[in-house]
Formats: sequence, C-alpha cells, structure tokens
Amino acid sequence: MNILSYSCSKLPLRNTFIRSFHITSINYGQPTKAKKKADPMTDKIREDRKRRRYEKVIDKLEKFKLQLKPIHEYESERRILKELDVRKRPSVELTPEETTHRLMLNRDWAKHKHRQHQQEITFISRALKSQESALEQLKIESEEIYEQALQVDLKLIPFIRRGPLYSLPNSNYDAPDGDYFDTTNYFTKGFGVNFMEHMKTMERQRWTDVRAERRAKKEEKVAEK
Amino acid sequence: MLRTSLLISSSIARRLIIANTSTNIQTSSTIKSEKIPQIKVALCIQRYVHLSPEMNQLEKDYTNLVAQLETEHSYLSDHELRHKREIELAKQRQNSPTSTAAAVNIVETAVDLEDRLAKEFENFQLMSRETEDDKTNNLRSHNRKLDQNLLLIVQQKNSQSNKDEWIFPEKTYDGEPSLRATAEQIISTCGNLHVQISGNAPLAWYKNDADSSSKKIFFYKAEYLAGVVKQFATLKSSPYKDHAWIIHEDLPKYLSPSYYKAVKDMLFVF
Repeated sequence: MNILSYSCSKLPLRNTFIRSFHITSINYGQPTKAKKKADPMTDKIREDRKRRRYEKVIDKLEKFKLQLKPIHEYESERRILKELDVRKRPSVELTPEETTHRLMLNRDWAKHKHRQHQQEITFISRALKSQESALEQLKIESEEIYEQALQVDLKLIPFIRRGPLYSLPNSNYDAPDGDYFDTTNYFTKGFGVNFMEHMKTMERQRWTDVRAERRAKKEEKVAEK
Repeated sequence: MLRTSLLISSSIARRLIIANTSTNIQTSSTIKSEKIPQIKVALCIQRYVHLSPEMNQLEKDYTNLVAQLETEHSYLSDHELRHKREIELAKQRQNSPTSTAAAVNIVETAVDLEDRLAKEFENFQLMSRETEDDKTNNLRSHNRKLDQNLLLIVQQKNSQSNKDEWIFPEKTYDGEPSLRATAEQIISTCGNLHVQISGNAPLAWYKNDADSSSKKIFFYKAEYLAGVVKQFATLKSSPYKDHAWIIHEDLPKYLSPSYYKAVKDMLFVF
C-alpha cells in the first residue's frame, strides 16, 4: 500500500491503468455454441437423401429373397453332369417276346392292384355297415348304453403303428460302433458391414465399366467420321 | 376341444382333456335299477402282423421288371465306369506289356470288390421267419404265423346242445356304465393281458335264432400288445375248456356258421 501510494504521488501522470491488467472471471466451461436456426429446407433434403439411399439398399437385398435354398437331393452332382456322354449305357434291343411279356405283365399288375383296391374298399364298407347295425340293435336294447357307446375314445390318439419287418430282430447282434457327422448346409447370407461394402464396390465397378463402354463407342463413332 | 386334443400330443394335456370329458360320462357305477338289458359282450383279441408277408409270383415278377427298367433307363455309375476302365487297362497290358498302362498297379479291381462284398453278405444271417411254435404247430401260442393276423378264440361247453363249441371270450352285461367297461373285464378273465380296445362302440352283433333263451352278443375288437393267456386246458376250474390262436382262414372251421357270418365283416375277411 505504501509503495503504490508513493509511486502515484512521485511519478508524473502516465497511462498506467492498473485496472486494465486483469484475468478473466473463472467460468469452468466453454462458451456456448451459437444456436443455428432450424432450417426446414435443408432438413428435408437431408432426409430425402437418406430415404433414397435406404430404399436402394433394400431393393438390392430383396433380390436375395427370390433365390430359393437348393435342395441337395434334387440337384445332380456337377461332376456327373459334365461326364454324361461318357456314362451312356449301351442301348438294349428288345426282342418281340420280351416286349409282349412286359406288356402282359403290366396288364396283370394293373388288374391285381385294381382288385386289391376294390377289396379294401369293400372291407371298409362292410365293417362300417356291421358297426351301424350293431349300434341300432344296442339302441333297441337300452338308450343309455347306446349313448355311452357313441362317446369318442380319446385314448386312441396319438395313434402309432410301426410297420411289419422282413425278419425278427436278432437279440445277439453286435451293431458296429460309429460316429455321427453333421453335414447339413446352413444357408445364411451375411448382411453385415462387409456385405454392404461389397455391394457398393460391385456397383461402382459396374458403373465404371458401363461408362468405359460408352466412351469407347463414342470414340468409334468419331473415328468412323 | 377335440381339435386341440389332436394338436397337443403331450401326455399331460391328454390327461387334462380326458379328465374334462369324463364329466360327461356318468360316474355312477350302475346305470339304472329297473331293467338291466339282457345282453352279452364278447371281445375279439387280435395279434397283428409282425413280419411282412411274402410276395406272390406276380409281385416278384413285377418287382424284377421294374428294377430292370430302372437300370435300362439310367446312366453308368462310378463303379461301372471303374470296371470299364480296368477292362481297357487289361487289354492294353496284353497288347503291349511295356506301355505306361502296365506300370499302373491296381490293388483291387471292381470285380474283386464285388466278390468280396457278396461273400460278406452271404456270411450275414437273418433271423428265420418261422418260430419254434410254427414247427410244432402249437395252436395255443401267439408266437406262430408271424406274417398273418391271429385271433384268440376259446372253447366253451354249450349247456343246451351239450357240445363243445368255439367262441370269442364273452361275458354277460351286469349293469356297468358302458359296454366297453364289460369288455375290459373280459380281459382279466382271459389272463394277464395288455390289450388295446378299439373304441367305445361295438362292431358287430349276433343272436342265436335257434336258441330262444340265448342273449344278444355285442362284439368289440382289441389289439394284443403283451401278456400271457391263461392255459384253460390245464386249469382245473375255469370258465373255458381250451383256447387257441388261429388265422382268418381257419375261423370257419372252428366257429358255427351263423356266428361266423355275423362276425366276419368286422374282421376284414371275405
């Protein structure tokens, strides 16, 4: 205090504003950004662009929906399809006796199967008739038991029947050991980031090729002239 | 409710549904007190086919023809191509023993492979289709004639004509809540059997017109699953004299003609 007062009184008047040296007030933060006004035009343009881009991508991805998963059993092996001409069987010449024998056999088989089918139909219809007449007789005897007989038997569902085998199972049979290897094909397309990049590069490549073609055509025309 | 029972296959759901529907069925033990209908219930137990029947001549011929046609219309397989190539190699070897073809060393030709596999197949033995009971013709066992259906019939002493006659096991109706319940009681008289009765409704009926005091018989069909039939012939006190498991063709020999006529439709025979 003494030094200051001394300097003020002794020295001539100068432009030494002590107050001009100061530090800023402590804010503890950045100054806030200037707020941009919401511009509807640019927003709409931006949204339109985004939507168009997404729709394009969706159209491209829809293409993969049309591709059906291949059924392994229906497709022939490519290796075999290439060798078909090698694999032709020598054609068989049929004697007239053989052809007549085959025709007769086919005709007999058709008759046999037809007769079998008719038999099955008659069996079923006769059994049904027999059951209907039994139920009629039961109704004559007593109404109440008749009602009981008409109830549905739910114990018959689920109905399981294992087909007849050719020979009985051998209890002493030692089945050989083995391993199960799961070779199912799982068809999943990777729709991840790599896939999108892949699609984009393919498109770009395609367009450069198209442009190069057009350029080449133009130059040809100019060269002709 | 019936449709949902078809879709749901778990046993818990099944029990719930059966418990719900049983409220429809009367839970009283006897139907009515005034008049119990004078009827009988019989049960036809069938042991179904275990082995597939042999093909007759026409079927065998046709299977052969179909196999022949298939090979004629097909292309050569890998095995046959290999066979062809080996024949050519052998020819080339014969023509020029120092050519490159001779240098090829074949470990096992296609023909060798075929022979080896055929031998292996011959060594494998299938179980025989005939059982011991087939050979001894033991009518009382259910283990014979595995490729045909067998029916259980019992022999009873007919009080009227004093003759032994063969019938399906039967029981007089005693006032149970349903005929099906009576049929289930027949099972226990025949032995310790596990049987599946096909439904609540009877499949055929018979009344002996000659005998006016006889009652109407209603038949049920059942599938034999497991168990042993009581040996009626050896038991001292039993309702039946004897029992047998017979095939459809032998039925008319055992049953009386009018009885057989009433029953044959439900058994799917001519």
